[in-house]
Amino acid sequence: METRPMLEVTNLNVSYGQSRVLFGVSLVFPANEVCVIVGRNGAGKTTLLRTIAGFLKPRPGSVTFDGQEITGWRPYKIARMGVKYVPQDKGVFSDLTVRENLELASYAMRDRDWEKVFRYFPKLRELLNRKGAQLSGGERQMLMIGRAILGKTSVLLLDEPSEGLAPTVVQDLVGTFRQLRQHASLVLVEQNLAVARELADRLYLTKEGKIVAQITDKNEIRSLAFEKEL
Amino acid sequence: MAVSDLISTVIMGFAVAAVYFLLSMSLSLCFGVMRIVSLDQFVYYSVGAYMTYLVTAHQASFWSGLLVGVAVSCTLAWAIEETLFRRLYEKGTMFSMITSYGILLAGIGVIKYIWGLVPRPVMAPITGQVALLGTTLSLYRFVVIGLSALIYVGLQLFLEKTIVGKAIRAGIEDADKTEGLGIDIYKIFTVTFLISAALSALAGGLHAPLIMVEPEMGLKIMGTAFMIVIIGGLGSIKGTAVSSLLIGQVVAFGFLLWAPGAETAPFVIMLLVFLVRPRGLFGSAYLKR
Repeated sequence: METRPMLEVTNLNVSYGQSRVLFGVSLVFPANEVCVIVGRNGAGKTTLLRTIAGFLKPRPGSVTFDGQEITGWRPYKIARMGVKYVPQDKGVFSDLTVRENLELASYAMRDRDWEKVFRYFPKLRELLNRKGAQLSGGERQMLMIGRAILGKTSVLLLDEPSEGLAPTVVQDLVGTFRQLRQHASLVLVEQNLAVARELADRLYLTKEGKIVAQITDKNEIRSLAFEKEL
Repeated sequence: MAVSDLISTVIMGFAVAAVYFLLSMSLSLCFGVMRIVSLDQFVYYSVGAYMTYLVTAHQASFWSGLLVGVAVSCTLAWAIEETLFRRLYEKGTMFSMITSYGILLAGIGVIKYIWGLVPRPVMAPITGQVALLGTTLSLYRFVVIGLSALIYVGLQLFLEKTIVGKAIRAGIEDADKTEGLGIDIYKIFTVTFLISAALSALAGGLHAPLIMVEPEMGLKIMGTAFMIVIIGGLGSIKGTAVSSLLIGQVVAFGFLLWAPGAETAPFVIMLLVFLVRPRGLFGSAYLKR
């Protein structure tokens, strides 16, 4: 039996000016599942996450979170509802320290429980006074996810979290995602098919702004049989 | 050049720099956080000066005039931000530039309608003199320098130590990511806009006794203020302060040595900085455009 969708996207159409990027995209993201969206560059994966997070307005289309329509809501409201977006560029605030980055998330989400963050990423405790600009790619990713899990977090939208990271760091991240999925739904946009294969309960294939396939069969996901369709 | 002229010019340069700093900081904050060109800051500068004139003309204290100027400017700025700029934040810079230029022209028109074209004098609140190495200098100039320095320290502390200040610093780097954390970035924009208007009004009020208050005083200082922002680096308090000090001295010595040079030297410095360091002396490499 399929669990209820935590997040649902219906007939999403998004354009940048005259250039249309998403064409009638419809998806469901069930609670406590890891959904991975794969596709080539320019397939509209990042646009999809940015639209769900409220940074882009669909015309037309709708996004429903936990039964409530959140289409067109401002990004801060969507984040406070529990849908957190972790962008691709690992852009922590470079002029702010790790402590200040966490303070801002704590302030926004009214949650001072940093121990929760340190349980997943103990290294961040040692880096509290280091500026964002001085962090490695892996440390930045830890901080971004750490900020995102403060406060209510029902859905984590992760845009290419493994991009540019060393294989050992990626393995650590995969381990962290396995723990996080017990508390939240994870939606990953991922080019690294090894990560997709390890984590995905559900896999969406995107092509030229459309969803071309949905795979829920674990064996099919593990076999990477979908690779030829990309 | 006599030593007395030298000392007098240096102190005048610092006093002018103090005013430049307050005004340029307001422009720098508006562009740094909201990515808007807020030419209406020059209206708040003029309103600050005219309110100080109005209050002192009615025999009340200069300092209360300064506060009235800040209060009126902030009220005006709040109304403008809520009704106009809220609709422009997601549009290009050109929209804010044209809209704020319209507000500036309308503001000048209203000032002309109320007070006419005649320049108005404002008495300095402190008429004392200070003797320094054989030169007698107006104490008020030191007060302007001191107040501006205090505001610099206060702004630094606000941005470094308070959570709203940290959100403003985050917004300077990337407003989208700040909002993505769950922070209502429009509230941060409003706070930033009001701080900017208050700084502009203070600049106008403090500048008033050093110049004559007139309707187009905002237009006259506009070019220099923008050059200071560009030289210092967008959104940088330290950069704006250093740049103000530099341009303040250049303008003061320009007037002493060769008046046309006072007008052109800031342009030359800006071009040189552009060539060597396009993001300005202290501009951050991390600003998202």
